[in-house]
Order: sequence, then C-alpha cells, then structure tokens
Amino acid sequence: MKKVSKIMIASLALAGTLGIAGVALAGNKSLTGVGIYGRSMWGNMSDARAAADTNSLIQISFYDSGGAVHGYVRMTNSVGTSGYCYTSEPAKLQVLQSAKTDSYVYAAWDAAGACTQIAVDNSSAISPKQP
Amino acid sequence: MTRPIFIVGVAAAVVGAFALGTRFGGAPERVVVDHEVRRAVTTPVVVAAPSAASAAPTPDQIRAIVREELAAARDEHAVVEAPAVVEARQQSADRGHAVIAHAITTGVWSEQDRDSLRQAVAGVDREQADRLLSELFPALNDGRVKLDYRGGPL
Repeated sequence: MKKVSKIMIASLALAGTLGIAGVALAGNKSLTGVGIYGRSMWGNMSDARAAADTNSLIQISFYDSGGAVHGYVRMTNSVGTSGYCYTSEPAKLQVLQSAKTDSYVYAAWDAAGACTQIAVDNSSAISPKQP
Repeated sequence: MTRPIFIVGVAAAVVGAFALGTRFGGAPERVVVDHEVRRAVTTPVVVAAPSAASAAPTPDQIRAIVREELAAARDEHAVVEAPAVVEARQQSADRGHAVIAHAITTGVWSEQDRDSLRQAVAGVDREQADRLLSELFPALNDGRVKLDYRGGPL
C-alpha cells in the first residue's frame, strides 16, 4: 500500500513538473522580423535585434527642436533596405511614445515621408529582447 | 420780499453761465484717443427667435455660428512677429534646405549633415521643419541618400 502511494506521489510530481515546463513553453508567440513593402514597414523590436543578419533594425527617435517635437521611425530589413517616416502630429507622437523595447511597430508614410499610420503593439506574444 | 428773488436770480445766472462756459468755451476738453484694436466684425449671424414649432437652430445656422467662432479664435490668437524673427527663421530654413540638397547631390548623409540639420531645425517653426523633413525623408526612402553612420538621420 505504501509503495503504491509513493509511486503515485512520484508520478504526480513528475506530471506537475512537466506541466509547469509545458506552461513555460506554451502560449501565443509572435515572431516578426522587419518587413518593408511599398510605403509601409513593420516588425518586432526584439526579433529585429535577434535576427541572424547584421542589418535588421527598428528605431524610434524623438527630437525637440525648441519649436516642436518631431519623431521618426526607421526600419531596416535583413537585406539592408530601409524605410523612414517622420511626424510632428501630437496624436502620432503619443502612439510612438508608447513603444517599448519589445514592441511590435507598424508605420506607413506618404510621398513626403510623413507618417500616415502608426501602430504600436505591446503583447505577451512578443518575445522579450535578448542581449 | 424782492431780495430772496434777486438772490435766486443771481445764483441761477451764475450757474447758467458756468454751464455754458464749460460746454462752449474755456479750457478744451481732454481728447481721449481709443487705441484699442478691435476685431473686425464679421458678418452677423441671424438666428431666428425660437418658437414653439422650431426651438433649435438649423444646421446652416449652427455651421455659421461655428465658422464665426473659429474665425474669432483665429483672430484672437494671431501673433504678428517681428520681421527680424521671420527673416532669421527663413535663414535657418534655407541653411537646412542647402544641407539636404548637398546630401542629395553626394548621395550621403553624414553625422555632420545631421548636426547641421539639427541646428537648422532648431531655428525654424513647425511648418518649416516639416518641409525640411519632407525633403530628407523621401530621399532616404528612395535610396538617393544613404546614412554613412549607424545612428538616425536626425
């Protein structure tokens, strides 16, 4: 009887361990390198950094000129093609400022290079940035 | 009996003379020039008095009211800048345009170009800055200008 209990406990412990490991490995995951198509670009910051190539890059910068704050998005894909857009619109600047180091970022621009659409997604599905 | 009447008559004459003197003669009145700049009166909006049948203004009337209020707000916030300020701003913008034009000619955007543009953008207003960036960013997107360093273009 005692032997059976010990086996049961050991089995439960093993199942629990495997279960915890399963939780750690499961979940919705998004892997998105830098994409540039036409006048739009997108990508996960963490995946751009983790890319095997040396070109991939996502950059969001702000510049206060004294008269106004300007922000811009810059992305470079694995083959070195780059996209840029800038904005001084408060609403778009606010969206850009919500970006974190592990965010998914999308931006589209017009013929003048002005950002026409900006999306920032902070999600558990996006892998954290590795060193 | 006649003495009080005489006194009253004299007093009335003195008061009358004083009143006429201050109105038509004596020291000139102080002239006050009103220097207050008043906002140009826009076309008045005529809103019909509410009646039992239609108490709310019509959409056209609402549009007219909104237009008038917006025009008034623009007038109130209009700031006339000194010509020297406007000229200095334009000179900064011109310097920025020259930096970008040079970079497009050479096909290279250097850190020196970035620093020069930053200086130029610091001296312009938002619209001028947007015009500068609208020259640089399409050139970067088209590949006519490439960064020769690892940082951002601005």
